[in-house]
Amino acid sequence: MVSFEQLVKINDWEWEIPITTRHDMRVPAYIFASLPIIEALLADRSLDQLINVTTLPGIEMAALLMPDAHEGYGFPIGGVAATRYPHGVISPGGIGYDINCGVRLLKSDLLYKDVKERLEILSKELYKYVPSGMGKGGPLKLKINEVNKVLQKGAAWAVSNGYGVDTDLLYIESNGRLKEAETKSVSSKAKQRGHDQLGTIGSGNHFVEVDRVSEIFDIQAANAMGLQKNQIVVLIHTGSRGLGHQNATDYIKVMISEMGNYNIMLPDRELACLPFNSPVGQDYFTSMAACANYAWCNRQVITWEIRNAWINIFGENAHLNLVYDVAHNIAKLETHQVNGKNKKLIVHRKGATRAFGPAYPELPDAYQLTGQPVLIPGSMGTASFVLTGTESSMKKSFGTTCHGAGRSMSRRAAKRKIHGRELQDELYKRGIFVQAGSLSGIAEEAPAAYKDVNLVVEAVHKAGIAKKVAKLNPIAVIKG
Amino acid sequence: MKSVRVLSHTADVRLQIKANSRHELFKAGILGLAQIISPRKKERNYQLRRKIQVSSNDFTTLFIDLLNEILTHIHIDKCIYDHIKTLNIKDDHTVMVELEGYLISRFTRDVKAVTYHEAEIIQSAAGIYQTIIILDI
Repeated sequence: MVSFEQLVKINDWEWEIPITTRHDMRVPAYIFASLPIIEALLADRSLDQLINVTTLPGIEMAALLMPDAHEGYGFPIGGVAATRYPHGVISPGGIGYDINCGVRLLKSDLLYKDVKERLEILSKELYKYVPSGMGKGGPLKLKINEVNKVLQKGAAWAVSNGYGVDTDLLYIESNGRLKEAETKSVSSKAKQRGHDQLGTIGSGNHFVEVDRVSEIFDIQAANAMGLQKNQIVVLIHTGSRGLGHQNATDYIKVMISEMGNYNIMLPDRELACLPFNSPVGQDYFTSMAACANYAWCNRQVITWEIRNAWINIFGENAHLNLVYDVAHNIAKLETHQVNGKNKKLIVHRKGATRAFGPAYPELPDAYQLTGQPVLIPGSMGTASFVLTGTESSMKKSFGTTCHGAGRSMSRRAAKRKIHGRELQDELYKRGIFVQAGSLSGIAEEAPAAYKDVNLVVEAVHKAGIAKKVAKLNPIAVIKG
Repeated sequence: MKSVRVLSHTADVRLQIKANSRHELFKAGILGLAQIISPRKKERNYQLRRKIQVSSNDFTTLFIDLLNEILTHIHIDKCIYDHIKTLNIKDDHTVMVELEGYLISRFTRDVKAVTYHEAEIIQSAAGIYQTIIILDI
């Protein structure tokens, strides 16, 4: 295990694990965190896993870790690695099993005073309209040829089939579609698992949450996003469901068996990787892009379900418009400055959010001056945050920041310490209506099982890799 | 003797699996996975039967690959396979298993994948086979 003495403090918010710490490191590792967060990270295997990431062939500059990090498998959650294009490796473990798990924020034209008396029926209506839970199918049962269209078109498939409007696509990372997607790279098993899961959130830490904007930190950016104090907004957190899980499983297996052909030796099988420009590397990348498209389509169909529930409660004139939709488990081809030179890189983000600064061409006009919106969900009893990417995040972290509060307690420990029913009642007394498929699921996802999201967000804000815009407080939560 | 013990992990499920033989270890893994996804409360009528064959580079990857293949069928068939009719492990790192299972409308826990992280089948001096596996939740 890494010890505190092995860390070099750069400043109050940035730490380094020098390249000399272990013989097989190719680059150093940088951690964005305050001292208390560093102390917490030393309690599990996050930093050892981060050192393992530095051994990836072709890795550039450093392996990075965000303050919401915790131990995972292969990559730590909150890990970022950029490898050289096209000879550096691509690693499915650097993206995770839930490909394009991400967050979408919708804004309403209602204020808290307009909804506070109807929160209970709203939460029940949302629970009825948005399928959640383990292995549960959704309203759409697609034939495989239609699944292929989803994989190719992403969120645009949903819009063209009546599950949204064209302007929705403007406010989605990559406009909800990675053009590199190839349907033939995705196995029939993965497609079978995905044929009935569009429009479902799944379980675990996934949710739909209604929030009240409780604080504005940056008025200019909030205005650009159309956010104001006491406004009601909706967060969606989910990904590519079983289709993405199967795709990752399929390719990690193949990569483990092929790594020897490329003389790749790694400290952990779960880091399995191949050169990006190898046949299997290319197949994985194009399949991952297809799964990312499925995830964007999934969040689009969920948006349609939420809009229907919303209209049932608040009437035909109640609208929900997109603020932004951003992935936190993905690999993208991006150009960044490394040692003063522009380099095309394969940027892996596993539990880390793209946070591009102002003037990035892909961003809609509304965000050209402010930078890309970054959505940081907390746990169901605390706060979530809206931030923006910064020029500094482009220089320090490949345009990346944190993705959430980050777990600090195991699910088992949470279930031992917390009773789901008591927590649900306590949240109810605080004005938070929770609808969930299981009480044990509520206990596992209790706020006490997570780090303090305020400390996490403060760390990225102070480190300069994102800027605080608004704080959101939950008032209704739908969980699997 | 075979046992499956849940150990602590910050976000996922870490299992320690032990058995007297490799054959029993594989059985314990299959049953342990089914238990995590849907703990069995009563006798069930088995409605589906499935034969699975997997080949890998070594016994550890074979074990993980087999569990992932079963997990795939649990999800596609919406069926908990917790009755092992036959299990045949060959020295060339191939396994054939015939399973029976019962249909289910809702899982207790959604396992995304069985990971290779920390997995390593070892045999102790006392002859006990054991490994850790981490399930992505």
